[in-house]
Amino acid sequence: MKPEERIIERLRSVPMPGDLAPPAGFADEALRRRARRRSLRTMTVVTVVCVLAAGATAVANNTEQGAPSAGPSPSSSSTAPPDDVVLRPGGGPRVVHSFHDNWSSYLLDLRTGEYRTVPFGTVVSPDQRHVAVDAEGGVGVAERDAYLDAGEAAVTWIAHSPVQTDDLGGEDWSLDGTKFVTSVLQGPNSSLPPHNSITSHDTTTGVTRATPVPDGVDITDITWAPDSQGFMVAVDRQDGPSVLRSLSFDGVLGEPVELDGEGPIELEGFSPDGARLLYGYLFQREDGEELARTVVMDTVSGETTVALPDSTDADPADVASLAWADETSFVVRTRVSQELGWGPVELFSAVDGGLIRALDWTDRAGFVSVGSSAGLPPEAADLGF
Amino acid sequence: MSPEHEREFRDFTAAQTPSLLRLAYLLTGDVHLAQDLVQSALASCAGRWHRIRNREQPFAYVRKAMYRSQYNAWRARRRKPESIMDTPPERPVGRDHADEVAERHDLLAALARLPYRQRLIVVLRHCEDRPEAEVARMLGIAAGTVRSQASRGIAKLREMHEASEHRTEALR
Repeated sequence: MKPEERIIERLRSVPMPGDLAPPAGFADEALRRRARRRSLRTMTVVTVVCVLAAGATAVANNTEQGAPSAGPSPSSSSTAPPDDVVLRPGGGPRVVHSFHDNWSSYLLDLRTGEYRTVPFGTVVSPDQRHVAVDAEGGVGVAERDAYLDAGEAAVTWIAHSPVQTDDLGGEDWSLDGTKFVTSVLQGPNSSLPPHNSITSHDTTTGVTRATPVPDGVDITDITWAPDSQGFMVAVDRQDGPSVLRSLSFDGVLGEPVELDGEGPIELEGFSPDGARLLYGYLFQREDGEELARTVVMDTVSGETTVALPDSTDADPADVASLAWADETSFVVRTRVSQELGWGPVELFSAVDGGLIRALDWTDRAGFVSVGSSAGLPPEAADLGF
Repeated sequence: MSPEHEREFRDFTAAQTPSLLRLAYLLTGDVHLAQDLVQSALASCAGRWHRIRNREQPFAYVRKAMYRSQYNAWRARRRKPESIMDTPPERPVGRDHADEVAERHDLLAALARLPYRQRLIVVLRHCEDRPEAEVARMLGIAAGTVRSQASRGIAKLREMHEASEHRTEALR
Protein backbone atom coordinates (compact mmCIF):
# COMPACT_ATOMS: atom_id res chain seq x y z
CA MET A 1 0.00 0.00 0.00
CA LYS A 2 1.33 3.43 -0.91
CA PRO A 3 2.03 5.87 1.94
CA GLU A 4 -0.70 8.21 0.69
CA GLU A 5 -3.19 5.37 0.62
CA ARG A 6 -2.23 4.46 4.15
CA ILE A 7 -2.83 8.05 5.26
CA ILE A 8 -6.27 8.05 3.65
CA GLU A 9 -7.19 4.74 5.19
CA ARG A 10 -6.21 5.99 8.61
CA LEU A 11 -8.09 9.23 8.10
CA ARG A 12 -11.22 7.26 7.39
CA SER A 13 -10.82 5.12 10.46
CA VAL A 14 -9.56 7.73 12.85
CA PRO A 15 -11.16 7.10 16.26
CA MET A 16 -13.53 9.73 17.55
CA PRO A 17 -13.46 11.03 21.13
CA GLY A 18 -15.77 9.20 23.48
CA ASP A 19 -17.70 12.37 24.31
CA LEU A 20 -18.48 13.11 20.66
CA ALA A 21 -22.11 12.21 21.07
CA PRO A 22 -25.22 14.29 20.53
CA PRO A 23 -26.12 15.91 23.84
CA ALA A 24 -29.64 15.34 25.11
CA GLY A 25 -32.15 17.64 23.44
CA PHE A 26 -29.98 18.28 20.40
CA ALA A 27 -33.00 18.71 18.11
CA ASP A 28 -34.74 20.93 20.67
CA GLU A 29 -31.74 23.22 20.84
CA ALA A 30 -31.54 23.41 17.04
CA LEU A 31 -35.20 24.40 16.90
CA ARG A 32 -34.67 26.96 19.67
CA ARG A 33 -31.77 28.45 17.74
CA ARG A 34 -33.96 28.76 14.70
CA ALA A 35 -36.65 30.44 16.78
CA ARG A 36 -34.10 32.90 18.18
CA ARG A 37 -32.91 33.73 14.68
CA ARG A 38 -36.46 34.30 13.49
CA SER A 39 -37.17 36.46 16.49
CA LEU A 40 -34.06 38.53 15.91
CA ARG A 41 -34.87 38.88 12.23
CA THR A 42 -38.43 39.94 12.99
CA MET A 43 -37.22 42.54 15.48
CA THR A 44 -34.77 43.85 12.90
CA VAL A 45 -37.45 44.10 10.23
CA VAL A 46 -39.87 45.81 12.62
CA THR A 47 -37.18 48.27 13.61
CA VAL A 48 -36.31 49.04 10.00
CA VAL A 49 -39.98 49.46 9.07
CA CYS A 50 -40.51 51.79 12.02
CA VAL A 51 -37.50 53.87 11.10
CA LEU A 52 -38.58 54.05 7.46
CA ALA A 53 -42.12 54.92 8.44
CA ALA A 54 -40.90 57.63 10.77
CA GLY A 55 -38.68 59.01 8.04
CA ALA A 56 -41.48 58.95 5.50
CA THR A 57 -43.80 60.72 7.93
CA ALA A 58 -41.20 63.38 8.60
CA VAL A 59 -40.71 63.95 4.90
CA ALA A 60 -44.45 64.13 4.33
CA ASN A 61 -44.85 66.62 7.15
CA ASN A 62 -42.10 68.78 5.75
CA THR A 63 -43.45 68.80 2.21
CA GLU A 64 -47.13 69.04 2.96
CA GLN A 65 -47.21 71.45 5.82
CA GLY A 66 -50.70 71.88 7.18
CA ALA A 67 -52.13 69.01 5.21
CA PRO A 68 -54.32 66.66 7.19
CA SER A 69 -52.79 63.42 8.20
CA ALA A 70 -53.44 60.78 5.64
CA GLY A 71 -53.21 58.06 8.24
CA PRO A 72 -51.13 54.94 7.88
CA SER A 73 -50.30 54.09 4.32
CA PRO A 74 -50.28 50.52 3.09
CA SER A 75 -46.96 48.93 3.87
CA SER A 76 -44.99 47.91 0.86
CA SER A 77 -43.34 44.73 2.00
CA SER A 78 -39.88 44.52 0.54
CA THR A 79 -39.16 41.02 -0.60
CA ALA A 80 -35.68 39.54 -0.79
CA PRO A 81 -34.29 39.21 -4.31
CA PRO A 82 -35.24 35.85 -5.76
CA ASP A 83 -32.56 33.19 -5.90
CA ASP A 84 -32.66 33.15 -9.67
CA VAL A 85 -31.72 36.77 -10.16
CA VAL A 86 -30.21 36.95 -13.58
CA LEU A 87 -27.63 39.04 -15.28
CA ARG A 88 -29.01 41.52 -17.80
CA PRO A 89 -26.01 43.34 -19.28
CA GLY A 90 -28.01 44.80 -22.15
CA GLY A 91 -27.11 42.69 -25.16
CA GLY A 92 -24.15 41.23 -26.95
CA PRO A 93 -22.78 38.12 -28.65
CA ARG A 94 -22.33 36.07 -25.45
CA VAL A 95 -24.68 34.92 -22.73
CA VAL A 96 -24.54 32.94 -19.51
CA HIS A 97 -26.12 29.61 -20.40
CA SER A 98 -26.07 27.97 -17.00
CA PHE A 99 -25.03 28.77 -13.50
CA HIS A 100 -25.54 27.55 -10.01
CA ASP A 101 -25.57 29.18 -6.66
CA ASN A 102 -25.16 27.57 -3.28
CA TRP A 103 -28.27 25.47 -3.56
CA SER A 104 -29.70 25.34 -7.06
CA SER A 105 -28.72 24.92 -10.68
CA TYR A 106 -30.17 27.08 -13.44
CA LEU A 107 -30.31 26.64 -17.18
CA LEU A 108 -31.27 29.19 -19.78
CA ASP A 109 -34.33 28.24 -21.81
CA LEU A 110 -33.45 29.54 -25.26
CA ARG A 111 -37.08 29.28 -26.37
CA THR A 112 -38.37 31.74 -23.80
CA GLY A 113 -35.24 33.55 -22.71
CA GLU A 114 -35.81 32.59 -19.08
CA TYR A 115 -33.54 30.88 -16.62
CA ARG A 116 -35.16 27.86 -15.05
CA THR A 117 -34.25 25.71 -12.11
CA VAL A 118 -33.06 22.26 -13.08
CA PRO A 119 -32.52 19.24 -10.87
CA PHE A 120 -28.81 18.74 -11.55
CA GLY A 121 -25.81 20.80 -12.45
CA THR A 122 -25.47 21.10 -16.22
CA VAL A 123 -22.71 21.61 -18.71
CA VAL A 124 -24.02 22.85 -22.03
CA SER A 125 -22.55 21.33 -25.18
CA PRO A 126 -20.73 23.60 -27.64
CA ASP A 127 -23.66 23.40 -30.05
CA GLN A 128 -25.91 24.33 -27.10
CA ARG A 129 -28.41 21.61 -27.93
CA HIS A 130 -27.38 19.09 -25.31
CA VAL A 131 -26.44 19.14 -21.68
CA ALA A 132 -24.31 16.82 -19.63
CA VAL A 133 -25.79 16.51 -16.17
CA ASP A 134 -23.86 15.73 -13.08
CA ALA A 135 -25.79 14.18 -10.25
CA GLU A 136 -24.60 12.63 -7.05
CA GLY A 137 -22.92 9.47 -8.15
CA GLY A 138 -23.86 9.64 -11.80
CA VAL A 139 -23.40 11.42 -15.09
CA GLY A 140 -25.93 11.64 -17.86
CA VAL A 141 -26.81 13.43 -21.05
CA ALA A 142 -30.02 15.01 -22.25
CA GLU A 143 -31.36 17.19 -25.00
CA ARG A 144 -31.48 20.69 -23.62
CA ASP A 145 -35.13 21.48 -24.27
CA ALA A 146 -36.28 18.06 -23.13
CA TYR A 147 -34.33 18.44 -19.91
CA LEU A 148 -35.93 21.81 -19.28
CA ASP A 149 -39.37 20.34 -19.89
CA ALA A 150 -39.10 16.95 -18.23
CA GLY A 151 -36.19 17.23 -15.83
CA GLU A 152 -34.62 13.97 -14.75
CA ALA A 153 -36.97 11.94 -16.94
CA ALA A 154 -35.18 13.31 -20.00
CA VAL A 155 -31.75 12.21 -18.81
CA THR A 156 -29.98 9.18 -20.22
CA TRP A 157 -27.64 8.03 -17.50
CA ILE A 158 -24.19 7.07 -18.70
CA ALA A 159 -22.31 6.39 -15.52
CA HIS A 160 -23.61 5.47 -12.12
CA SER A 161 -22.10 5.20 -8.73
CA PRO A 162 -19.60 3.88 -7.74
CA VAL A 163 -17.94 5.30 -10.85
CA GLN A 164 -16.21 8.52 -9.96
CA THR A 165 -17.63 11.52 -11.71
CA ASP A 166 -14.52 13.60 -11.59
CA ASP A 167 -13.60 16.07 -14.23
CA LEU A 168 -17.00 16.97 -15.51
CA GLY A 169 -16.55 20.62 -16.19
CA GLY A 170 -16.99 23.32 -18.76
CA GLU A 171 -14.06 22.03 -20.73
CA ASP A 172 -15.16 18.46 -20.77
CA TRP A 173 -17.36 18.52 -23.83
CA SER A 174 -15.13 17.90 -26.81
CA LEU A 175 -14.79 20.93 -29.05
CA ASP A 176 -16.85 19.25 -31.77
CA GLY A 177 -19.67 18.82 -29.28
CA THR A 178 -20.07 15.08 -29.74
CA LYS A 179 -18.32 13.64 -26.71
CA PHE A 180 -17.84 14.36 -23.06
CA VAL A 181 -15.80 12.92 -20.26
CA THR A 182 -17.84 10.95 -17.79
CA SER A 183 -15.22 9.89 -15.34
CA VAL A 184 -11.61 9.62 -14.47
CA LEU A 185 -11.10 6.37 -12.67
CA GLN A 186 -8.36 6.39 -10.14
CA GLY A 187 -9.08 3.34 -8.08
CA PRO A 188 -10.13 3.59 -4.46
CA ASN A 189 -8.04 6.70 -3.82
CA SER A 190 -9.11 9.00 -6.58
CA SER A 191 -7.20 12.24 -7.03
CA LEU A 192 -3.99 10.39 -6.40
CA PRO A 193 -1.90 9.62 -9.42
CA PRO A 194 -1.67 7.53 -11.44
CA HIS A 195 -5.04 7.71 -13.08
CA ASN A 196 -6.20 4.34 -14.30
CA SER A 197 -8.47 5.34 -17.10
CA ILE A 198 -10.50 8.17 -18.56
CA THR A 199 -14.01 7.33 -19.63
CA SER A 200 -15.75 9.34 -22.33
CA HIS A 201 -19.12 9.07 -23.99
CA ASP A 202 -19.89 9.73 -27.64
CA THR A 203 -23.39 11.13 -27.97
CA THR A 204 -23.53 10.40 -31.70
CA THR A 205 -22.78 6.69 -31.39
CA GLY A 206 -23.85 6.06 -27.82
CA VAL A 207 -20.52 4.41 -27.19
CA THR A 208 -18.74 4.86 -23.88
CA ARG A 209 -15.03 4.32 -24.14
CA ALA A 210 -12.34 3.81 -21.50
CA THR A 211 -8.94 5.23 -22.32
CA PRO A 212 -6.13 3.59 -20.33
CA VAL A 213 -3.54 5.86 -18.79
CA PRO A 214 0.03 4.60 -18.68
CA ASP A 215 1.51 3.89 -15.28
CA GLY A 216 4.19 6.11 -13.88
CA VAL A 217 2.81 9.34 -15.31
CA ASP A 218 1.67 11.91 -12.78
CA ILE A 219 -1.28 13.44 -14.56
CA THR A 220 -2.76 16.46 -12.81
CA ASP A 221 -5.49 17.37 -15.28
CA ILE A 222 -6.97 16.45 -18.61
CA THR A 223 -8.83 18.23 -21.36
CA TRP A 224 -10.00 17.36 -24.85
CA ALA A 225 -7.53 17.63 -27.71
CA PRO A 226 -8.46 20.39 -30.18
CA ASP A 227 -9.46 17.80 -32.81
CA SER A 228 -11.71 15.96 -30.32
CA GLN A 229 -9.94 12.70 -31.20
CA GLY A 230 -8.22 12.21 -27.89
CA PHE A 231 -7.06 14.13 -24.85
CA MET A 232 -4.34 16.46 -23.71
CA VAL A 233 -2.96 15.86 -20.25
CA ALA A 234 -0.86 17.96 -17.90
CA VAL A 235 1.93 15.93 -16.37
CA ASP A 236 3.71 16.90 -13.19
CA ARG A 237 7.45 16.18 -13.27
CA GLN A 238 9.57 16.10 -10.18
CA ASP A 239 12.62 17.43 -12.02
CA GLY A 240 11.31 20.48 -13.82
CA PRO A 241 8.37 22.33 -15.28
CA SER A 242 5.15 20.46 -15.89
CA VAL A 243 4.47 19.37 -19.44
CA LEU A 244 1.53 18.97 -21.78
CA ARG A 245 1.18 15.68 -23.66
CA SER A 246 -1.41 14.26 -25.98
CA LEU A 247 -3.14 11.05 -25.00
CA SER A 248 -4.83 9.02 -27.71
CA PHE A 249 -8.01 7.06 -27.09
CA ASP A 250 -5.77 3.99 -27.03
CA GLY A 251 -3.69 5.39 -24.21
CA VAL A 252 -0.58 6.38 -26.16
CA LEU A 253 1.19 9.49 -24.92
CA GLY A 254 2.63 12.09 -27.29
CA GLU A 255 5.76 14.19 -27.03
CA PRO A 256 5.95 16.61 -24.07
CA VAL A 257 5.61 20.36 -24.46
CA GLU A 258 6.78 22.42 -21.51
CA LEU A 259 4.27 24.53 -19.65
CA ASP A 260 4.82 27.44 -17.34
CA GLY A 261 4.90 26.49 -13.70
CA GLU A 262 5.78 23.46 -11.68
CA GLY A 263 3.46 21.17 -9.80
CA PRO A 264 -0.21 20.55 -10.52
CA ILE A 265 -1.47 22.31 -13.62
CA GLU A 266 -5.17 22.92 -14.09
CA LEU A 267 -6.15 22.74 -17.73
CA GLU A 268 -9.14 24.91 -18.48
CA GLY A 269 -9.35 23.87 -22.10
CA PHE A 270 -8.67 24.95 -25.65
CA SER A 271 -10.39 27.86 -27.28
CA PRO A 272 -13.25 26.83 -29.61
CA ASP A 273 -10.92 27.14 -32.63
CA GLY A 274 -8.18 25.19 -30.86
CA ALA A 275 -5.66 28.00 -31.31
CA ARG A 276 -5.11 28.71 -27.62
CA LEU A 277 -4.91 26.80 -24.38
CA LEU A 278 -6.08 28.30 -21.11
CA TYR A 279 -4.58 26.90 -17.94
CA GLY A 280 -3.67 27.83 -14.42
CA TYR A 281 -1.42 26.82 -11.61
CA LEU A 282 -0.54 27.70 -8.07
CA PHE A 283 2.89 28.86 -7.10
CA GLN A 284 4.63 30.03 -3.99
CA ARG A 285 6.10 33.47 -3.79
CA GLU A 286 9.41 34.01 -2.00
CA ASP A 287 7.61 35.05 1.17
CA GLY A 288 5.74 31.73 1.13
CA GLU A 289 2.36 33.08 0.03
CA GLU A 290 0.58 30.87 -2.45
CA LEU A 291 -0.83 32.56 -5.51
CA ALA A 292 -2.79 31.51 -8.56
CA ARG A 293 -1.69 32.35 -12.07
CA THR A 294 -3.79 32.06 -15.20
CA VAL A 295 -2.10 31.94 -18.59
CA VAL A 296 -2.95 31.52 -22.25
CA MET A 297 -0.64 29.51 -24.49
CA ASP A 298 -0.52 29.81 -28.26
CA THR A 299 -0.80 26.24 -29.50
CA VAL A 300 1.17 26.91 -32.68
CA SER A 301 4.21 28.54 -31.14
CA GLY A 302 3.90 26.90 -27.73
CA GLU A 303 4.57 30.24 -26.11
CA THR A 304 2.68 31.90 -23.30
CA THR A 305 1.00 34.92 -24.83
CA VAL A 306 -1.09 36.12 -21.89
CA ALA A 307 -0.58 35.91 -18.15
CA LEU A 308 -3.18 37.55 -15.97
CA PRO A 309 -1.82 39.55 -13.02
CA ASP A 310 -1.29 37.32 -10.00
CA SER A 311 -3.64 38.09 -7.22
CA THR A 312 -1.88 38.90 -3.98
CA ASP A 313 -5.00 39.46 -1.98
CA ALA A 314 -7.48 36.75 -2.81
CA ASP A 315 -7.23 33.20 -1.71
CA PRO A 316 -5.67 31.27 -4.61
CA ALA A 317 -8.70 29.06 -4.97
CA ASP A 318 -10.92 32.08 -5.27
CA VAL A 319 -10.31 32.24 -8.98
CA ALA A 320 -13.20 29.90 -9.15
CA SER A 321 -14.73 29.97 -12.56
CA LEU A 322 -12.69 30.11 -15.67
CA ALA A 323 -13.97 29.26 -19.14
CA TRP A 324 -13.75 30.20 -22.77
CA ALA A 325 -16.48 32.55 -23.94
CA ASP A 326 -15.47 32.44 -27.62
CA GLU A 327 -12.32 32.15 -29.76
CA THR A 328 -10.68 35.26 -28.38
CA SER A 329 -12.03 35.79 -24.90
CA PHE A 330 -12.57 33.98 -21.64
CA VAL A 331 -14.43 34.68 -18.44
CA VAL A 332 -13.08 34.69 -14.93
CA ARG A 333 -15.20 34.68 -11.82
CA THR A 334 -13.57 35.46 -8.53
CA ARG A 335 -14.84 35.32 -5.01
CA VAL A 336 -14.06 38.42 -3.09
CA SER A 337 -16.00 38.70 0.12
CA GLN A 338 -15.59 36.86 3.36
CA GLU A 339 -19.09 35.52 3.08
CA LEU A 340 -18.21 33.70 -0.12
CA GLY A 341 -19.39 36.68 -2.06
CA TRP A 342 -18.73 36.54 -5.75
CA GLY A 343 -17.15 39.34 -7.66
CA PRO A 344 -18.07 40.50 -11.14
CA VAL A 345 -17.99 38.26 -14.17
CA GLU A 346 -14.89 39.50 -15.94
CA LEU A 347 -14.32 39.00 -19.63
CA PHE A 348 -10.66 39.02 -20.66
CA SER A 349 -9.06 39.14 -24.07
CA ALA A 350 -7.10 36.01 -24.88
CA VAL A 351 -5.10 38.07 -27.36
CA ASP A 352 -3.60 40.67 -25.06
CA GLY A 353 -4.96 39.84 -21.61
CA GLY A 354 -6.89 43.09 -21.39
CA LEU A 355 -10.12 43.32 -19.46
CA ILE A 356 -12.88 43.63 -22.03
CA ARG A 357 -15.78 43.97 -19.68
CA ALA A 358 -16.70 43.46 -16.04
CA LEU A 359 -20.29 42.52 -15.42
CA ASP A 360 -21.71 43.41 -12.07
CA TRP A 361 -23.01 40.16 -10.72
CA THR A 362 -21.43 40.55 -7.34
CA ASP A 363 -22.64 38.26 -4.61
CA ARG A 364 -25.17 36.54 -6.78
CA ALA A 365 -24.56 33.20 -8.41
CA GLY A 366 -21.47 31.06 -8.44
CA PHE A 367 -20.24 29.17 -11.44
CA VAL A 368 -21.22 30.36 -14.86
CA SER A 369 -21.15 28.67 -18.23
CA VAL A 370 -20.88 31.15 -21.08
CA GLY A 371 -21.52 30.71 -24.79
CA SER A 372 -23.00 32.34 -27.83
CA SER A 373 -26.19 34.34 -27.42
CA ALA A 374 -27.37 33.34 -30.90
CA GLY A 375 -30.89 31.98 -30.79
CA LEU A 376 -32.13 34.09 -27.91
CA PRO A 377 -35.63 35.44 -28.49
CA PRO A 378 -35.71 39.21 -29.09
CA GLU A 379 -37.35 39.94 -25.75
CA ALA A 380 -34.40 38.31 -23.97
CA ALA A 381 -31.69 39.98 -26.01
CA ASP A 382 -30.63 42.03 -23.00
CA LEU A 383 -29.27 38.86 -21.39
CA GLY A 384 -26.35 39.00 -23.79
CA PHE A 385 -23.08 40.82 -23.31
CA MET B 1 -42.99 24.36 11.18
CA SER B 2 -45.96 22.00 11.17
CA PRO B 3 -46.11 19.22 13.76
CA GLU B 4 -45.53 16.68 11.02
CA HIS B 5 -42.45 18.48 9.74
CA GLU B 6 -41.15 18.93 13.25
CA ARG B 7 -41.49 15.23 13.90
CA GLU B 8 -39.62 14.46 10.68
CA PHE B 9 -36.94 16.94 11.59
CA ARG B 10 -36.50 15.38 15.03
CA ASP B 11 -36.30 11.89 13.52
CA PHE B 12 -33.76 13.08 10.99
CA THR B 13 -31.68 14.76 13.69
CA ALA B 14 -31.70 11.67 15.87
CA ALA B 15 -30.63 9.43 13.00
CA GLN B 16 -28.04 11.60 11.29
CA THR B 17 -26.41 13.63 14.03
CA PRO B 18 -23.72 11.04 14.85
CA SER B 19 -22.50 11.01 11.24
CA LEU B 20 -22.62 14.79 11.02
CA LEU B 21 -20.74 15.11 14.30
CA ARG B 22 -17.96 12.87 13.05
CA LEU B 23 -17.45 15.04 10.00
CA ALA B 24 -17.70 18.19 12.05
CA TYR B 25 -15.04 16.88 14.39
CA LEU B 26 -12.69 16.22 11.48
CA LEU B 27 -13.23 19.80 10.36
CA THR B 28 -12.95 21.52 13.71
CA GLY B 29 -10.81 19.16 15.79
CA ASP B 30 -12.87 20.04 18.86
CA VAL B 31 -15.89 18.28 20.34
CA HIS B 32 -17.71 21.43 21.39
CA LEU B 33 -17.02 23.28 18.17
CA ALA B 34 -18.22 20.21 16.28
CA GLN B 35 -21.47 20.13 18.23
CA ASP B 36 -21.95 23.84 17.66
CA LEU B 37 -21.29 23.51 13.94
CA VAL B 38 -23.78 20.69 13.50
CA GLN B 39 -26.41 22.42 15.60
CA SER B 40 -25.98 25.64 13.69
CA ALA B 41 -26.41 23.82 10.38
CA LEU B 42 -29.47 21.99 11.66
CA ALA B 43 -30.98 25.24 12.91
CA SER B 44 -30.38 26.80 9.54
CA CYS B 45 -32.00 23.89 7.76
CA ALA B 46 -34.95 23.68 10.15
CA GLY B 47 -36.27 26.88 8.64
CA ARG B 48 -36.22 25.33 5.18
CA TRP B 49 -37.33 21.90 6.24
CA HIS B 50 -40.54 22.05 4.22
CA ARG B 51 -38.39 22.25 1.11
CA ILE B 52 -35.51 20.05 2.21
CA ARG B 53 -37.76 17.14 3.18
CA ASN B 54 -38.86 16.75 -0.41
CA ARG B 55 -35.34 16.20 -1.60
CA GLU B 56 -33.98 12.77 -2.13
CA GLN B 57 -31.14 13.29 0.25
CA PRO B 58 -31.79 15.79 3.02
CA PHE B 59 -28.59 14.56 4.66
CA ALA B 60 -26.57 15.93 1.75
CA TYR B 61 -28.32 19.26 2.08
CA VAL B 62 -27.61 19.57 5.79
CA ARG B 63 -24.05 18.43 5.27
CA LYS B 64 -23.56 21.08 2.64
CA ALA B 65 -24.92 23.72 4.99
CA MET B 66 -22.44 22.55 7.59
CA TYR B 67 -19.50 22.69 5.24
CA ARG B 68 -20.39 26.12 3.99
CA SER B 69 -20.89 27.40 7.50
CA GLN B 70 -17.47 26.15 8.50
CA TYR B 71 -15.90 27.46 5.32
CA ASN B 72 -17.37 30.89 6.00
CA ALA B 73 -16.12 30.81 9.57
CA TRP B 74 -12.64 29.90 8.42
CA ARG B 75 -12.59 32.58 5.80
CA ALA B 76 -13.82 35.16 8.27
CA ARG B 77 -10.79 34.60 10.43
CA ARG B 78 -8.31 33.71 7.76
CA ARG B 79 -6.12 36.69 8.43
CA LYS B 80 -5.96 35.89 12.11
CA PRO B 81 -3.45 33.42 13.48
CA GLU B 82 -4.68 29.88 13.77
CA SER B 83 -4.93 28.50 17.28
CA ILE B 84 -3.62 25.04 16.70
CA MET B 85 -1.45 22.83 18.82
CA ASP B 86 2.23 23.22 18.05
CA THR B 87 3.57 20.25 19.92
CA PRO B 88 2.65 16.67 19.33
CA PRO B 89 0.60 15.01 22.06
CA GLU B 90 2.34 12.76 24.53
CA ARG B 91 2.42 9.24 23.28
CA PRO B 92 3.16 5.93 24.84
CA VAL B 93 6.22 4.06 23.66
CA GLY B 94 6.13 0.64 22.06
CA ARG B 95 4.31 -0.55 18.94
CA ASP B 96 1.02 -1.70 20.31
CA HIS B 97 -2.62 -0.74 20.06
CA ALA B 98 -2.00 2.41 22.07
CA ASP B 99 0.67 3.38 19.58
CA GLU B 100 -1.76 2.92 16.73
CA VAL B 101 -4.24 5.19 18.46
CA ALA B 102 -1.53 7.74 19.17
CA GLU B 103 -0.52 7.63 15.54
CA ARG B 104 -4.04 8.47 14.50
CA HIS B 105 -4.12 11.22 17.09
CA ASP B 106 -1.10 12.67 15.36
CA LEU B 107 -2.97 12.45 12.09
CA LEU B 108 -5.80 14.56 13.46
CA ALA B 109 -3.30 17.11 14.70
CA ALA B 110 -1.69 17.15 11.27
CA LEU B 111 -5.10 17.60 9.67
CA ALA B 112 -5.69 20.60 11.91
CA ARG B 113 -2.47 22.16 10.63
CA LEU B 114 -3.59 22.14 7.02
CA PRO B 115 -4.86 25.45 5.61
CA TYR B 116 -8.60 25.58 6.14
CA ARG B 117 -9.54 25.17 2.49
CA GLN B 118 -7.17 22.29 2.01
CA ARG B 119 -8.46 20.63 5.18
CA LEU B 120 -12.02 20.93 3.99
CA ILE B 121 -11.16 19.47 0.61
CA VAL B 122 -9.24 16.59 2.15
CA VAL B 123 -12.17 15.76 4.42
CA LEU B 124 -14.69 15.98 1.60
CA ARG B 125 -12.63 14.02 -0.89
CA HIS B 126 -10.96 11.44 1.25
CA CYS B 127 -13.02 11.02 4.39
CA GLU B 128 -16.36 11.52 2.69
CA ASP B 129 -15.24 10.22 -0.69
CA ARG B 130 -17.22 12.88 -2.53
CA PRO B 131 -16.51 13.24 -6.27
CA GLU B 132 -14.33 16.15 -7.29
CA ALA B 133 -17.09 17.70 -9.35
CA GLU B 134 -19.43 17.69 -6.37
CA VAL B 135 -16.82 19.21 -4.05
CA ALA B 136 -16.06 21.84 -6.66
CA ARG B 137 -19.72 22.72 -6.95
CA MET B 138 -20.21 22.71 -3.21
CA LEU B 139 -17.34 25.08 -2.58
CA GLY B 140 -17.66 27.03 -5.78
CA ILE B 141 -14.14 26.31 -6.97
CA ALA B 142 -12.71 24.64 -10.03
CA ALA B 143 -12.54 20.84 -10.18
CA GLY B 144 -8.86 21.11 -10.97
CA THR B 145 -8.33 23.08 -7.78
CA VAL B 146 -10.10 20.39 -5.79
CA ARG B 147 -7.87 17.76 -7.37
CA SER B 148 -4.63 19.56 -6.79
CA GLN B 149 -5.53 20.64 -3.28
CA ALA B 150 -6.67 17.15 -2.29
CA SER B 151 -3.44 15.73 -3.61
CA ARG B 152 -1.31 18.35 -1.90
CA GLY B 153 -3.23 17.98 1.34
CA ILE B 154 -2.56 14.27 1.49
CA ALA B 155 1.08 14.85 0.61
CA LYS B 156 1.38 17.35 3.46
CA LEU B 157 -0.33 14.98 5.87
CA ARG B 158 2.12 12.32 4.85
CA GLU B 159 5.07 14.64 5.42
CA MET B 160 3.85 15.73 8.83
CA HIS B 161 2.96 12.18 9.79
CA GLU B 162 6.37 10.88 8.78
CA ALA B 163 8.10 13.65 10.68
CA SER B 164 6.10 12.70 13.74
CA GLU B 165 7.07 9.06 13.31
CA HIS B 166 10.72 10.02 13.10
CA ARG B 167 10.45 12.03 16.29
CA THR B 168 8.92 9.02 18.00
CA GLU B 169 11.67 6.74 16.76
CA ALA B 170 14.29 9.18 18.01
CA LEU B 171 12.74 9.16 21.47
CA ARG B 172 13.06 5.40 21.77
